[in-house]
Amino acid sequence: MSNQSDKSKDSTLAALLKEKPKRGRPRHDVSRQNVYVALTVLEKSHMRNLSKEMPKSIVRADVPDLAVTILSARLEAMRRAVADRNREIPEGVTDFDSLYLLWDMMIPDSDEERKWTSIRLSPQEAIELGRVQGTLNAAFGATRSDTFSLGLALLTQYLEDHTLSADLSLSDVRNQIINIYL
Amino acid sequence: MANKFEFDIEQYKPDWDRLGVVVPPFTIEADPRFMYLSTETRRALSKVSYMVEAGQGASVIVGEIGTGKTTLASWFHSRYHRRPDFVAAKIDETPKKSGLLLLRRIAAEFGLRTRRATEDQLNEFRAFLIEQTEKGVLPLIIIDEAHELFPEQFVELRRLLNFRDPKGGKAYQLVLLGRPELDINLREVPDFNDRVATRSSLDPLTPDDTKSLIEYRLLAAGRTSKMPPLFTDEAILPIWRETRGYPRSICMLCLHLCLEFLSTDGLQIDEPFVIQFLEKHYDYRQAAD
Repeated sequence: MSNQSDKSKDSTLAALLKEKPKRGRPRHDVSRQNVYVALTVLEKSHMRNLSKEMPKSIVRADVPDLAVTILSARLEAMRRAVADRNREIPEGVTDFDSLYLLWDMMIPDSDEERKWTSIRLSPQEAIELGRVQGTLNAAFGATRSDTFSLGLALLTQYLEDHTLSADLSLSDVRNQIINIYL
Repeated sequence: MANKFEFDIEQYKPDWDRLGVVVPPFTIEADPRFMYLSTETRRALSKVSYMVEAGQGASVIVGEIGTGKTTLASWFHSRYHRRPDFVAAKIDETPKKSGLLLLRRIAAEFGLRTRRATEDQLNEFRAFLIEQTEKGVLPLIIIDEAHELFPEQFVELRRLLNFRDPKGGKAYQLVLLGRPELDINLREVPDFNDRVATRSSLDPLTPDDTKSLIEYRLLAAGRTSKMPPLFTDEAILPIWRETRGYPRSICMLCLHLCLEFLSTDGLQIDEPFVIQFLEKHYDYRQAAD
């Protein structure tokens, strides 16, 4: 009788090998890089809320990656749309805030206090953020924080306009964004 | 012997130096140098310029009298006309009724030959488009007071929008600016209305924007930011209330306030000064007209 109950129990080794939910940051195929940006308290809490609206497999740590993906896709779409012209950014986009107006978003309150925080980005997204910031900095003197905030606003707008099914992975959502805008 | 009727006109010119400006800061002329970019103006600029540069066809901007449509039209014309990849034609007043007359007016602005038959005129436009697109240049047509256009004129404009260069590239780009009736008129021409890529509206300014407009104009006229504000914060609200936030009315009232101020020895234009002026000169608008 006691033998039967022993059999139903897993061995110590089997228990150790069993897949369990892991603590700490989620693992990724490629390690992510720390990038420092200054965000408002509202933006930080907003990042947490955004992850709740996403498919189950996407967590808060993935939100910055998606924000950069969408920002990069939308700027590339704009660049392609005006590809025949001699400017990457249309003449009437006279300042950084005009990008918010062009894409039908509320201009953020610039007086709100910002605090430095680290976000973790995949290597490709870290490069993309640098590239986008380079363009926006040359055009309007935008900082890396301004650029990332714009990406967050675009991601919020995207989630308002599109319903994501619960079984999508991070790369599925990334591909969906790229397919829509590019 | 000097004529007793002669007088020195110079002494009757306003002493703008006292305001710390080098040119009159408040005029009602549509001068793009003085264009204050309110949120609504920036929205219209960014959307319309994106559509123009992306070759999307027609864009529409509507706004009441004195909201800055003509200034915006001048801005588009001056900015795009000096770019090597654009050639711009601006029509300030549209000819009555005839579609051909409108085409002829646009042709004249582009420096094209004007023809007596509509088809011939359209052929001129087609040839011009091909010639320009070969050089990588996009023709842009800006029509101010577009609420005065007639349905038959919209038909001709739609035909212009249909033109493509043989390689399938971009066609004529069109920006229409007019009063809100323009939106109503467009509903009568659904074929054209469907071609409108973006619509923007210019609304009257908020009190904050009114303050920014006044400060911007003074700055653009040469007043340095180191000087104390000419208009106190409290003076803005009665100005906004009187003008209901219409930029042209704000400029006209501020011009009269400045002229009145120059005849006094005050240091700033404050709330009592504005209220007193409005009570004393309640008919200043009629006088200006």
